[in-house]
Amino acid sequence: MSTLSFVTHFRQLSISAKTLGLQATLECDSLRVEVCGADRYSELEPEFASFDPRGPREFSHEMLPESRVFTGWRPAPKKSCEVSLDKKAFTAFCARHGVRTPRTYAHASEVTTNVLVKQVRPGTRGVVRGPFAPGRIPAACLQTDGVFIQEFVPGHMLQAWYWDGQLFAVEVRNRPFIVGDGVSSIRELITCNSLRSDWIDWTAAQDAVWFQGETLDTVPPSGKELAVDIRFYSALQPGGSDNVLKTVVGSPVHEQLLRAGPIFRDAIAAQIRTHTQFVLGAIIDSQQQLWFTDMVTDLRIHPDGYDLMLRGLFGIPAPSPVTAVPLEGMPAAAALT
Amino acid sequence: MYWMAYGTNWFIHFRAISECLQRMDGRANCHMGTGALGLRPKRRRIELQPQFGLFRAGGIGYSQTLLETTSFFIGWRPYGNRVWPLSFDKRAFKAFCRGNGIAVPRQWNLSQEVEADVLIKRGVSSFSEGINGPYTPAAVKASSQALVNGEIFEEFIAGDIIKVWYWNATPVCLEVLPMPTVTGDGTCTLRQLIRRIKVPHADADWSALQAIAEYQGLSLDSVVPVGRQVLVEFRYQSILHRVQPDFPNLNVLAKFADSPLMDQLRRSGEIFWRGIPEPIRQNTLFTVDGIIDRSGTARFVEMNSNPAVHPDAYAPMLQGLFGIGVTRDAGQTRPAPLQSPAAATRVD
Repeated sequence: MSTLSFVTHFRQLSISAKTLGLQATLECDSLRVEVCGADRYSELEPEFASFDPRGPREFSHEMLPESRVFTGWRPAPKKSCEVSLDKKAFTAFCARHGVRTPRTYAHASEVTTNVLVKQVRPGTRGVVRGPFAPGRIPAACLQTDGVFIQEFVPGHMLQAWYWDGQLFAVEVRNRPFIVGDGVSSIRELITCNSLRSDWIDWTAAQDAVWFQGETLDTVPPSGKELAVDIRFYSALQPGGSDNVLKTVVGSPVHEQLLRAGPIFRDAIAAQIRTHTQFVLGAIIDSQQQLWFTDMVTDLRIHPDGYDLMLRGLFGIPAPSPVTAVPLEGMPAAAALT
Repeated sequence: MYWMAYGTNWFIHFRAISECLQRMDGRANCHMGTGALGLRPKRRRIELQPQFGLFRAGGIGYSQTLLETTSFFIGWRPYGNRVWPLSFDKRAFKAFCRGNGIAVPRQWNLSQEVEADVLIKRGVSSFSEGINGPYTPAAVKASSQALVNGEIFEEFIAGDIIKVWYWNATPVCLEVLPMPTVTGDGTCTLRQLIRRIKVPHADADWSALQAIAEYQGLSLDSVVPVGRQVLVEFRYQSILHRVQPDFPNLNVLAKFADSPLMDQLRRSGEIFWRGIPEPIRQNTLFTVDGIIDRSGTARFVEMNSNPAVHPDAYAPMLQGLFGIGVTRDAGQTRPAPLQSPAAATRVD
């Protein structure tokens, strides 16, 4: 299922409305949806975007000639908070609430682990450089204003989606990689495995390959896998990610995600908090510990969130989330650290 | 990413309909339970029925209802589904064409009679399924290959692939795609060259690609000599057709407006349309696939009664449905009598 497909959003909103006994009609000109209940109605605004592998961009409520993906129907304007805009604010928030997050370094000279160099305020198209071993951070990376150094945690990449603090979707990805064929260089393998060659971030690829002691011109032996990017969105990633929430229920990962929801919901100002979706990014390490790396508010709507959205709008109680057993004798936040 | 392609992206269809209705001073609502579209121009009302696409084992499929497995949109039409003999059976279609002077590839039923490079096709199939080859006449004769289940030997013509959308007898959209090729560099095998142009993360049918390689005296593991161009696909919109930036509209009808090809498409359209049984002929959208041969003539291979709707087809469709514009209606002309498929078969 693609979360950027109009068909997917249409189907999920249609199913959610029908399940909750609501009537939904789509107006052809504007693609606004009117949802009617017994005693109230709500209008949902559509949102479109152009697309590159780092995700949707150039959002618009109108279908523009360059619109290629659909980023969902929303009942209210997008919202933001400092924790979602600023990596240092995010890190400080995590520290205050005992949420596990990769350590940061104030100066390159203090670095004792593998690290990434990130922008403090990345916007929707932030640049991440690395990973770099201690002492191998290119000076040019640090000469840019507004960057900070964060420990690189190996593992799977995770995005967790919440509506009003309630977890409803989890997407997990491996780092993008290529497989050697004994003939082609890493550069060629990246090119032919990318949907479009002009979408390839060669700096990211070079960093990833260099970290593993290779260059883009290396010809890896047949069958050898090599990570070539570190980001959730990349030209090398296949289409969409599946919602794997059901497969993580009951696991330590699920438990950590459930606890994180209410904590990060409260990062949003109380007066704009309701009817808000946010996404937490994290790395799952080999011990199934989550290392939270970022929070994004309302970037795009996930189609699996319409049930909770409509329940909130029409005052229909949400179903009880599947909860994990709290760890005995340990406060909820502490379990994340 | 298939759902992002121009014609399968649902909101591109909404935009096309919306632009038509603006010109007609009309409006429309979509029923979110079914996807049906209620059109209301000029105090009239017509409902268009949706069709959806999904991926299933071995290929893609169509559905008229929104299913959990629905992946993309096919289009709206003013009817649920229409099927007629010429769209159902490629043999009947080609016999009909031959009987009415429309160019088609040659066809044989026995391997010993084959006189040209051929594909083996099923008489009845969809989505380019069940096609094997190409084979040289020598290879066919050497193998003494017997056809099964209504298969035919169809002349293989290397050329551009065309798909024409007709609203009634009028060509309303045209796509022309080259057959994908790779060029050797003296180092890479054919398999590696194919991997370089293949849509990433899509599975290739390597046995079919091996057949195409063998037809050209190669194998997938052959190193392709420097500068040699090798054909790697002959089907319409395969995973070897390079993804173009921004998934553009590929309709080139306007580009061919005054060409001999367009004359041929118009003349053929009249005949194709009259090959549809009269009770379901009026207000019908269909496609015809073909190959442009070296002389620039389209040679038609099949007719599809249930095609994906090209978004550019809505303007003539709505003009026709609401009686606006010049779309041809049955009875406007007094055409020459047609050869029926059965009669055409006898001619062969």
